[in-house]
Amino acid sequence: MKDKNLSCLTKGIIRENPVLTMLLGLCPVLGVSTTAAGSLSMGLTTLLVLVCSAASVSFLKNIIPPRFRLLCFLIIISAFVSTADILISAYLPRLHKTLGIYLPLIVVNGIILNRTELFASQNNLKSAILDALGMGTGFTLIITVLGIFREIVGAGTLLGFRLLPDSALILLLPPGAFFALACLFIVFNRLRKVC
Amino acid sequence: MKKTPSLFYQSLVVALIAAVSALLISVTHDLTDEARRQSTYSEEQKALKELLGTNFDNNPCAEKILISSPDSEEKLEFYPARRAKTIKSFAIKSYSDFAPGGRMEIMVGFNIDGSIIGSKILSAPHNIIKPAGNKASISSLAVNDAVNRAVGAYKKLNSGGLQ
Amino acid sequence: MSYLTIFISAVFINNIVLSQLLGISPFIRASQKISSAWGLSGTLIIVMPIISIITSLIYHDFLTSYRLGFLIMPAFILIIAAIVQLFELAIKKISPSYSRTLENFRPFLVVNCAVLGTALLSAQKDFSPLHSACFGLANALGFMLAITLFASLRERLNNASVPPLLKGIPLSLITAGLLSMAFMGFAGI
Repeated sequence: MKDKNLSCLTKGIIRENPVLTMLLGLCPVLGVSTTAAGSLSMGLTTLLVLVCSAASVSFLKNIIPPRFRLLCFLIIISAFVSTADILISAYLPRLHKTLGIYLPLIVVNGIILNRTELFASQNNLKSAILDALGMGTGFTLIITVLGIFREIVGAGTLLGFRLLPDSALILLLPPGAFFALACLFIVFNRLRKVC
Repeated sequence: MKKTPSLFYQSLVVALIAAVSALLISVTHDLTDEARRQSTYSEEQKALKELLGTNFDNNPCAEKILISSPDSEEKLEFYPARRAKTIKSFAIKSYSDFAPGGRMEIMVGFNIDGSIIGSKILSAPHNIIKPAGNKASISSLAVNDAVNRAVGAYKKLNSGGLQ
Repeated sequence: MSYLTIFISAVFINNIVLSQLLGISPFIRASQKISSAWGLSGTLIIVMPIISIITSLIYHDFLTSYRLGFLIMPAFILIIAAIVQLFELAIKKISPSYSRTLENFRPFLVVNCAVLGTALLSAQKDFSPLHSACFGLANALGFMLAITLFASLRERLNNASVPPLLKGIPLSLITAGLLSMAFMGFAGI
C-alpha cells in the first residue's frame, strides 16, 4: 500500500513527466523560462493550482454530472487560477508583471485538465493529491531547469548575479526557447537509453 | 444500476459549482483590494521620483488623468507634478508592443515646456529589455516607440488647449 | 489602430505561435501530417473571430460596466467552451464526415493557449469588438501560416536521415526554433 502511494507521487517527476513524455503544458515552459526565478514561481503556482483542482475534483467526483464533466472541471480550475492571479497581483506585483499573460493561461495548461480528467476524477482524494503533487513537481523541475539554463547562457547571470562575462542573447528570444527545450529532450532521451 | 439524475438536477449542480467559484474569486478580490492599490502605486511613485526629482509636493498618482493616445483607442496615464499648486513638470505612462514577447510599459518624464527629462522602464516581458543603447537592438526599438507615443500624446493634449 | 496594422502585426511580427509562444502544444501535436494541420487551422479560422467578438462584447458591455473585471477568466473559458460545443453541433448537422475529424481536435480547441490568449490580449489592449474580430482572424491565419510551414517541413524531415538522438521531438523543436528565428526578421518593419 505504501509502495503504491509512493509511486503515485514519484511517477510524474521523471518516468511519466507530463512535459517530456506527454508534451503537455509547453506554452508556459517555452514562454516563461527566461529567468530562473520567474520559472520557479510559475512552476510553483501551477503546482498549487493543480493540487487544489485535483483535490476539489476528486472530492466532488460523485456529484459532478458526467454530461457536464468538462464544464465543471473548467469552472473549478479557472476559479483557482483566478484566485492565484488576484493574490499574486496584490502581494507580488513584480512577479505578476513578469509572468504577464502566462499567469491567466495556466487555466488552459494541458497538464491540469489531463490530470483532473484522467486521474483525479477516478481516484480517491489521497492518491489524487499525491499524483497532482508529483506531476506538478515534474513540471516545476523542467521549467526551472530550462530557466536556469537560459538565464546562464542567455544573460550570463543566475538569479541576477553575474556568472559569465558574455552571453548569447538569442537564448532569451523566442527561437532560443525552442533550442533550449530541444537540448533538454536530447539529454532526456539519452538518459532514458542508459537507464 | 443507478438511475441517472434529471437534467434539472444536473444543471443545478453545475450552477452551484459556478456560484461557489464566483464567490471564492470575488471574496479574494475584495479582501486584497487595498493591498493591490498600494502595490501598483509604489512602482510608479518610485519611477516618478527618479525622473522628476523631488521638485514637487503633491501626489501625482492621486491626480493622474487619462489622456488619449496619438495612434490607438487606448488611453495613456498623465501624472502632473505640482509645486505650490502649479504644474512644474509631468510624466506620461506609455507602452510599446514591439518588445519581444509582449508589452512593455515605460514612464516618460517631461519639463513643462514639453522637453523630455528622461524615461524609465516600469515593466517588460521576461525581464530582458535593457535600456536603449545596449546590445538588445529590438528593445531600443520598443523604447523608441513608447517614448514617441508619449510625445505624440503630449502634443495632442497641448493642441487640444487643455493645460 | 487601423485594421491593417493589427492584421500585419498579428500574422507576421507578433506571430501567435512563433514569437508569442502561445498554442505550442497543438502546434507540435497536430503537425505530424499536413492534412491534420489544415483541419485544425481551418477550424480555428472559423471559430476564433466568433470567440473574439463575443468575448469582447461580454467584456465591454457586461464585465467592465458592472465592475466584474476579476471574473474575466471563468467567463472567457466558459464562452469558449460553449462556442466550441455549438460549433460542433452545427457541423454535425452540415457535414457528418467532417465532424469526425473535428472530434480529434476538440481538446485543442477548448484548451488552447492561442484561443484564450487572443481573447485575453484583445481585452488587455482594449480593442473594440470589430478590432477583436480582426485580431482573432489574424491570429488564426498566423497560426495557419506557422503550422503549414512547420508541418510541411516535418513531412520532409521524416524521409531524411538524422542522428538517432535527434529523431522525433528534438528535431521538430529545432525546426520550430529556426522558423521562429526567420519570423524575427519581420520585427524591423
